[in-house]
Amino acid sequence: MNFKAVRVTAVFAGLLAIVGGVPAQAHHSFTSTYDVNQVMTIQGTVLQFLFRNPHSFVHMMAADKSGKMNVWAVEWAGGAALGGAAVTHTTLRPGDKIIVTGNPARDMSLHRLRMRAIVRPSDGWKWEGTFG
Amino acid sequence: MKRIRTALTLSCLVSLIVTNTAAFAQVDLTGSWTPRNSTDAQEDNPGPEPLPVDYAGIPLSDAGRAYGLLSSPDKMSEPERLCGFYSPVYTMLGPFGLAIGRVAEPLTGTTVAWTIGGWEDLAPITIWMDGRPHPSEYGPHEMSGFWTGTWEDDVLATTTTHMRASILRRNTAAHSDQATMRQWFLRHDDELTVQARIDDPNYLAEPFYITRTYSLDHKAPNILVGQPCIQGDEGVPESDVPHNMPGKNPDVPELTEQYGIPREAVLGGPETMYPDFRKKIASQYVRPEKCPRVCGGPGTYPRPEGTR
Amino acid sequence: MVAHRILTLVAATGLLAVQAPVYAQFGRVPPPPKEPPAWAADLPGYWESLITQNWRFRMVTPPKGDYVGIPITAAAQQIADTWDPARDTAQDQQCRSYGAGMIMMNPEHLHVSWQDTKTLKVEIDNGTQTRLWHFDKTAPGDSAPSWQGISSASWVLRAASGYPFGARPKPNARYLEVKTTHMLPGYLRKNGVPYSANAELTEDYDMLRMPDDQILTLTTSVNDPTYLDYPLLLSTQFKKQADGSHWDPTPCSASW
Repeated sequence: MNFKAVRVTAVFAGLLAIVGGVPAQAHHSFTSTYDVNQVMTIQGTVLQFLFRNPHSFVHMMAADKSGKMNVWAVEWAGGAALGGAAVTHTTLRPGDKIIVTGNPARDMSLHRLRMRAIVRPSDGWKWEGTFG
Repeated sequence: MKRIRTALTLSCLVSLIVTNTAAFAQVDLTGSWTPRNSTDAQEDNPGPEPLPVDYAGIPLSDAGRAYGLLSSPDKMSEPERLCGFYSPVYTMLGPFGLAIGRVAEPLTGTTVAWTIGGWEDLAPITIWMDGRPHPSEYGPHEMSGFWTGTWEDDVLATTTTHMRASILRRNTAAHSDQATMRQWFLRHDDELTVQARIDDPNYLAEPFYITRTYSLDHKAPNILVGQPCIQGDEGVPESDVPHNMPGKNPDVPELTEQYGIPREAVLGGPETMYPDFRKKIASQYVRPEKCPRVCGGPGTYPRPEGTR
Repeated sequence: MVAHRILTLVAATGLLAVQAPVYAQFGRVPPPPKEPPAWAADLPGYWESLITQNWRFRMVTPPKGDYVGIPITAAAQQIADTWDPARDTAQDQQCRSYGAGMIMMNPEHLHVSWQDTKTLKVEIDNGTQTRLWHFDKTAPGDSAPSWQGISSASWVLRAASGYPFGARPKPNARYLEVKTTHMLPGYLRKNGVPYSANAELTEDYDMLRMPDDQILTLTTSVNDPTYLDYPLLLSTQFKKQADGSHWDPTPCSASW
């Protein structure tokens, strides 16, 4: 089997999923997991950038509302979808200082956000939007 | 001359027999089928998606309701679950389309099986048409379940058993591993409606009937099915099992608060499917002044690619 | 000798008999039988809708401005955003959401019967509406538009796929197709999402028989270039009732 051809086809299909407006998500209902009526902003340091499918995750150290430092998991679009927005696995690196805005998880003890916007002040890089 | 006549007669007879054994046409279901999600618009992206506790219209049993209310959507992100597949019931719920193929016996061309391509969270499916029996009730439950199919006139009717426990709606409403599903593939020209019936002796008090409609995609050779799942950390610690304690589910009031739906509708049950239920809730329903969120509008739903 | 001749005659007859279905292999589907399929005998009686999907758009009146799932045009949005049930009632337009364009998606009971040999009558209790499905190709002519329009019905063969050695559809392998035009402007959703007088409705009905249930599956397509970017495709199901004990005619309501 020509794995390279399969991979190229798979990535291409994934990109088409975004360009064509077909939702790339299927994993879970965002409305069930996050409070989409609330928005919060956290500021901190990248620990890890999981560039993957079905959803990428940015793990960062940031303070919660009470000021206590926690590891936050910020859910983002899948790797194929981000590729269409010129985001790659090297776009974010451990140590980057970032500001993230998103919908908080319904269960606040989990310290999760659904990404709505991200800014890296050091060079002004940013991304903003919604993803399926 | 007599031998020629005999040979001719015999060949006619053979032709007659062979023709009559394969006399009836079967509908061709092969192709890439794009989902048309208006039937389940409140659930499917880019709809508002279901709230964690929205069981209206699902004939849940008391046990099914209890199980749902104890569940947390966050359990999907447990390390051992996050790349898990849904059961085949998900073919009726997920956003992707169907890539239907046919496996033919090489000599006679008869259909041995139909196949439905997998998604990133749905295992590929084989619908056996060769009359083989289902495994015993103690047989293993595979990610795709076990499917057999027969033709009811021109409709492919399937039976699925040996599924694993999974969801009935993209929230906490669930079916157990004793659930079975029947589906009927109803083709009308370039549209395909799949009618499903789900039975569950544990979590459903009555059969759960749902439908899904697709259009044949004339352009793309494959359905866009997303990428394979890769393991990772989704923010739920390895030691955690997200759940709610009995009577403590914080999400129960939300559908009422946002959309005015009475609580007894929110919690589901067989009567919520039937028209008579409207009489019961007529005085309880409070219509919101305007759509609270995710309301659709012009341009929200581009024409599905490749469809006419 | 005689036996041999009989055998030849039988074989020849059989060979001729299979010529018709062999046509199917080459894309020529034989015409459907003139009589209805066997399952049509189960149509008369009482049916009940099962509202298991899009529940809060169908079981209750959704809020104004909720047009999720419908590919509306900007013109349709303008109308939907000015929906006023009190105004509709005052103008005797309270039946707008009970028009043929969407009535079969409402929570309701159906009473199906044959008005005559060529006309199927479908009475609907929610909104006290009656639809007549004509099998005799009744031409609309100058018929005035109405909430239920003019419906033309037929039994449609699904396409034969043409397998080797010929193939022909089974006599019962047909679904019921109903095409409706000449409708008054109505609502695709009870909160005022409109369809125009130019809308065309196509409905396909299939019957599924199980030991414990009989289900009528409906696939419906509303084509309205005025208010829809492309045809709205929906599906739902009805369950056969033993009797009409749940039959409950209620008049149209603009708000409930």
